[in-house]
Order: sequence, then structure tokens, then C-alpha cells
Amino acid sequence: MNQHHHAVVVGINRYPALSDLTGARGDAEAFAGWLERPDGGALPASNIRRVMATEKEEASFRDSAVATPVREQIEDAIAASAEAAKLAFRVAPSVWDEGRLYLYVAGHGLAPGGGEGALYLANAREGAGRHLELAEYRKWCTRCAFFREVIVFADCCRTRESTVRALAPTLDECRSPLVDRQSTWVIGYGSGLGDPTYENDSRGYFTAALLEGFDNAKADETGAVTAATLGPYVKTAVANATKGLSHPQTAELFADAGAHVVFGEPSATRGVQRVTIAFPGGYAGRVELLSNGLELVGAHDAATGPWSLPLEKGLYEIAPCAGEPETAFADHGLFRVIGGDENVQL
Amino acid sequence: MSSSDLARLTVRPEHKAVEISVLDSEFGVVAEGAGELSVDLMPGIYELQLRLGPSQEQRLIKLEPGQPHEEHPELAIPEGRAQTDEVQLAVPSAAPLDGTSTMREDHLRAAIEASSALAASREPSGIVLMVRSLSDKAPFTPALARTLSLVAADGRPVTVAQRAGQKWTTSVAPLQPGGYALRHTSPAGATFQPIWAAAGWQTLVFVASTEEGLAPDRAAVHMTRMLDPWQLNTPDQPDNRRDVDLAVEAARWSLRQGRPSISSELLGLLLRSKFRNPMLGIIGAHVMLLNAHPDLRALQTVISNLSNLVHGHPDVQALGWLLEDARHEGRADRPKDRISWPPMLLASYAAAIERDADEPGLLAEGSPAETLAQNLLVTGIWTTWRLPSETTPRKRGAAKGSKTDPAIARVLDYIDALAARREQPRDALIDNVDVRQCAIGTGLPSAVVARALATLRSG
Repeated sequence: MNQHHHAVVVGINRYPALSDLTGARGDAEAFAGWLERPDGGALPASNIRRVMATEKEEASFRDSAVATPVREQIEDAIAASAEAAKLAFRVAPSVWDEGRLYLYVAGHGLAPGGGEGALYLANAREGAGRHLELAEYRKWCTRCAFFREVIVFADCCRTRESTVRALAPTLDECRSPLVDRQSTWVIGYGSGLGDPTYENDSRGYFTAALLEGFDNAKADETGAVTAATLGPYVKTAVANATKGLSHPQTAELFADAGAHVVFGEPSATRGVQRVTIAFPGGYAGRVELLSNGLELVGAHDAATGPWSLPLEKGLYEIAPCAGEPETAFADHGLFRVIGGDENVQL
Repeated sequence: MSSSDLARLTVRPEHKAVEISVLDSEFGVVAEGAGELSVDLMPGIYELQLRLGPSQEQRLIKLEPGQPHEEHPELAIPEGRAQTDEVQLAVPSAAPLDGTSTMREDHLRAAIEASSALAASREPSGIVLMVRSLSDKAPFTPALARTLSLVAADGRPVTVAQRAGQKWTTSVAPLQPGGYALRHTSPAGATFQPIWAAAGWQTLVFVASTEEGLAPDRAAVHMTRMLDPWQLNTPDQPDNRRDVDLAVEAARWSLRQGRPSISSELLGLLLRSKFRNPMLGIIGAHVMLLNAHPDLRALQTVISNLSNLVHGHPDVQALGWLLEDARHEGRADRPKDRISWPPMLLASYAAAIERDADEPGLLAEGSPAETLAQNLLVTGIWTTWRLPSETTPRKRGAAKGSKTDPAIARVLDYIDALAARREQPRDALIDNVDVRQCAIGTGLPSAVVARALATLRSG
């Protein structure tokens, strides 16, 4: 168990004065689920502070004035995590090296003036863009140095709202940090600055990629999935899942230079997903499927129609079998399997 | 597998600013570099990811045993390329720069002519403003271009010599060194961006007309020595200007994103180029500061050189403070430099305002740098403000504002949030709130916060 890891998890579906979402709270619960898993974040349940309204509560919010969660609740949860870290430090200063804070948010979002990405709070409305600017909280956490590592993930839009000014935390500023050492940080956003994020089947593309990445991203030389290996996986998974949509998403995941933030070990078996390969109109030859190592996975007669099969995540090639007519497949027959079920049009 | 079975991958982009990553089948990075990459890899399928500023492209590639594989990513050019299978990267710029997807020869010639005219004026400083259309679809009329104008620090228009051509206009203003502003009038009102005219230097401001209208928020700003006008590229120079031009676009994008995401080679290229274009050094230094652990000695050298090149430039002063912060230096014993005119880059201005919370008075009291902070808009990397009402004369002294005063409104917003959190009445907090914390929370200069609180306390 990571006794000194803490988390604040926020998910908002109900925005009485904006539009409602369907998947944000579920995303937050899924992230909290990963935090609790012994082979995931391995946090004690009591260290995970969920800041979410229940479905029943959300249904009762007729007006933004009564909707929750609001900023004070989230700040209270951050402050409670910080207090727990301070207390542990006073008892045994060496535990500072084991300290980590996760701040995960899902809901509507924006990039306010002077900010880089913020969660709209449930009581936001036109003319009162109440929000939680994540970079400000990340900076507050690193200024105060309550935790050695600060991890922020935000699955929300980052569309620019220059008329809304980024709000600083109302948590008290620290006159001096808890320790005279630099906290490190990781921050991940579902989209690039100025861009929206989307959900599919009630799951945000970013959160889905993140959770998948914890188990499937490449291990580094120490055998661990780290911020450095998680980043390329998540970015590729989000790009792949949203390619061809009207608004392809570009996820971002940045780490403090030199930070070696470990999320755990990848699962022993690579994830498998169903892939359906469709051939160009009129093509009826036999094809072979090659894995990343150019080893034969199988063969198929395109005359029988699309080829549907389970494949491990990775990179593949479809090529005509020896003796079959040459043809120009899209992307030279190369394709990737990452994220959810895949349709490949050659 | 023997080494002869490895496959050599060579990626040789058209431009050295291109960043290259190669991912394996586990979607982990197995090789990366900038400008050029040559690496031996196990045969197999890989994903090649390329980035140049805002432009990102990817391609799956197959490496055969013992076979070399070459990729030559190209820059997208306005007229398009005939029959190419290479990856294309499109980098737009408000300036007519070689290698960008928005380069126009006639626009470049017009910029050179305007810069030459300014050089011939023999004045100590000056500004060239160029407005140009980036595409055939973007509307462009002289009337549209006239919605942009240069004004002096007191708001009065600056006299300029104007020329117009096919989808471009230039305005040339020989000036005394000091603070000026670019005024943009739109149906929503007028906005202003500060421009510093440094002694001995021309400042060239390029604004694009896009399909959405004029975009001063995405302006490209360059500098050149007053008597050394803007030039055509000279490929024989050690640091090819085309490389520098694209590097600065990548750096500007990096700054816009708030990420130190350009390679050290490119950063070096920018910083070396500051001697002929200090704006590159200013932008480059800010990109260095985006790194959580910047090379402080290199930064010190850059800022010191910039101070010599453009002494008194508000952006360089702010960079000096940021360097002190990065070094965690004590502040009390340092002689006080003050800023009176807003820095051009928002990152500089934000740093100056934040520093003023700890050292009240760094933004000179009553100066535009202090009073305009409450009217800031954040629209891009450049400092931008909107005056509350153009018919109201600018208050240079103590504000006696009402509660519609933007500073008072912001202080009240902050106090209300604090009151909700602490469950205390607003009035008690107005009396007791810490000015420093309120300045950090509101992003306002200390003196502005103090005045707003005084007004609120007096009822």
C-alpha cells in the first residue's frame, strides 16, 4: 500500500446553468477505482477524497446556486490531504519521500485568461465562470511542498475564455515550504490548449487512454510504467481513438524535467481488443497479417469479406500473400491497435 | 540477430527545427531527436512522430532486416508540392518567413522596403507595422488594415508613412525610444498591445488577416538594428536565417502552450540570433524559463547580453526578476529597477505583477504599467488590455473608483471566495485581508490592491 499517497477525485455531470455531461462522474469513479486497486495506485481507501454529487443529488439540482461540487469542497479536500501529509511528516520526516498527491478532475472545462486548463464547477453559469484552474493548484502544492510528487490529470475542455480570469486558490499561502526540497509534478490534459475534449460511450477519451496506459504502457529500464512512458502511450491512444472525427484530440502529458514518477508495473499480459479489417472495394486476394516483429500472425481470404479477429495492442501490417496481385492498401497496409475496438479500412 | 540484420532508419527533415520521435510496438519512445535522426533498430513496424511548432504529423513505417529506410519530411509550402509521398508539416506565420506555409514573396519584399525606409529616416528608433492576408480566403481591405494603428503612451496617434499592395499594408514610424501601443478597433471595442521601441533598433510587427479577421493576438514581432534593415535569407550564413525564422515560430508556439517543448539545439539557435534580433532572445529566455530546472548560468548570460543590447526594455527587466526567482535569490538588498510601461510579452508582465506583490512599487506607482494591469485581457502570448471606457480619461493617480472599477470588482471577487471558504463576513475580510495574498490572488499590483481596499474600507 502507498500509505502516503493521497488523492482528490472530482467528477461533475450536472451543470444546471451549462449543459449536462454523461460520463464525467463515471470517469472519476473509474480513476478512483484504479487508485484503490492493489495493482493500481494502491492507495488506502481513506486517502481517496471523492468530491462528487451522487446521481440522486445531481437530479435535485434545479439551479446553479445549489449545485455541487463547488470550489470550497475541492479546496477542503486538498487541504485535508495536505494536513494528513504534514502530520505524517511531523511524526517521521523521512516519509516525505513517499508523499504524492493526485488531483483528478472530469467535467466541463476551459482555459481561462492567464491559465492553462480549468474545471468548470457545478455552480458555473454565464457571467460567473466559476472554475478550478489546475496549474494554480499544482503551483500551490509545489510551493508548499507538502508532497514530493504532485500528479494532476484533467479530462475537460481547454477552450479559451479570455473574459474569465484564472482564479488562484483561496487556500492560505505558505510562508515557507514544508521541506527545503523541490516537489516534482506531472500534469496531463485531455486536449491541447484551446481545444475541446470529448467523451465516447460515456467515457472520456483521455481517461480511457490513461487507465489503459497504466496497465499497457511500456515499462522503462526499471520495469515500471512512469510518466515518461505513460505520456507517449496516452497521446497515441487518444490520437488514434479520435482520428477521423471532426475534432481529433491531442492529449498532453508533461512532467517536471528529471522527474521519475512511477505509476506501477504494466500488466503481465498485453491488452487484447477486437479488430475488424475492411479491404478496398473490389479486392478479393488472400492477405497475411504480420506482427510488429514481422512474424506471421495469420492469413485471410478477402473475398470472404472483412476480417475480424482479436489482436494484442501493437503495430501490424497486412500484405498480399505471395503470388497474390499487388494492391495499394491505405498507409501501405500498416495499422495500430491501441485503445478500444478498432476498425481498420485498408 | 546479428548487427547486420538491424535496419538503419534515417529521418532527415527539410528543416532542423523538426522534432522527431520513433515509437515501437509498445508505444514507447525508442529514439528521438531534432533536425535529423539516424538510428539502428530491430526490423519491424514503428510509428514516426514529427512536430514543428503547431504542426504535428505521424506515419507508420516498416523497417526490413538489413535495409536502410529514409524519410524526408517536408515543409508545406503555399503553392503545394507536386507528387510527394513525404510527410508534410505546415507552419503558418504572420510574418512572411521563408519555409512557412504562409510565405508570400511580394509581402517579404514589402517588409524589406518598409524596413529600409525606416533605416533611411536616421531616427534613433522606430516601428514597422505590416498587415497582410495569409490566404486567398481571408478578407483584406485597406479599411480593415486601418483598424490597426500605432499610438503613443499617452494614447495619441503616431504619424506613420503608409503603403499598400496586393493584400498587404505597411506603416513606417520613425520614433524616439520608449513605450508605444498597437491599437486594434473592433465592434467589441478597442484593444491595445504594448510595443517597446528600443534605442538603435527597429521593431517589426506583423499582423495577419485571417478568415476570422485581424489577429493581433497571434502577431509575429521581430527586431533588427536600426541601420541594418530586414533582409532576404542568406543561406550561406552559419545560422541560416530560414532555420532561425522557423525556430522562432516553434518557440512562439511553445510559449503559447506554456511548455518548454523545443529542442536545446533550436533554443541555442534562437539565443545566438539575439544579437541581430533581440526579440528572439527574449522569447528564447522565456522558453528556457518554462523548464522547471533551467540552465541558470546560460540564462544569466542571455539576460545580461539582452540588457546590453536593449537596455531598459521592460521585457528584459522582467526576465531579470524571473532569473532571480529561479535562483531563489533574496530580494531585499537589491536596488529597485522599476517598470513604467507594460512589457510586450504577457509572461513578462505576469512576472512583474507577481513580483510586485512581494516588492510593492516595482511597477512604478501611477504609471501605465501599474494602472493598466487591471484591464488585461489574455488572448495569446502578447500583453493586451482593453480600456473600460474610451471616453473616460485614463486615471494616472490614485483611483477613486466605484464598485464597477475593474480592480475593485476583482478584489471583491477574491474576498467573496475567501469569505465563503473561511465562513467569515465579507466586511471583516475587507478590513483584515493581507495585501500580498490579495495581490497574488487577484493578479493585480500591490498599490492597485491597496487602493481598492482603501476605497472599500471607506465605504
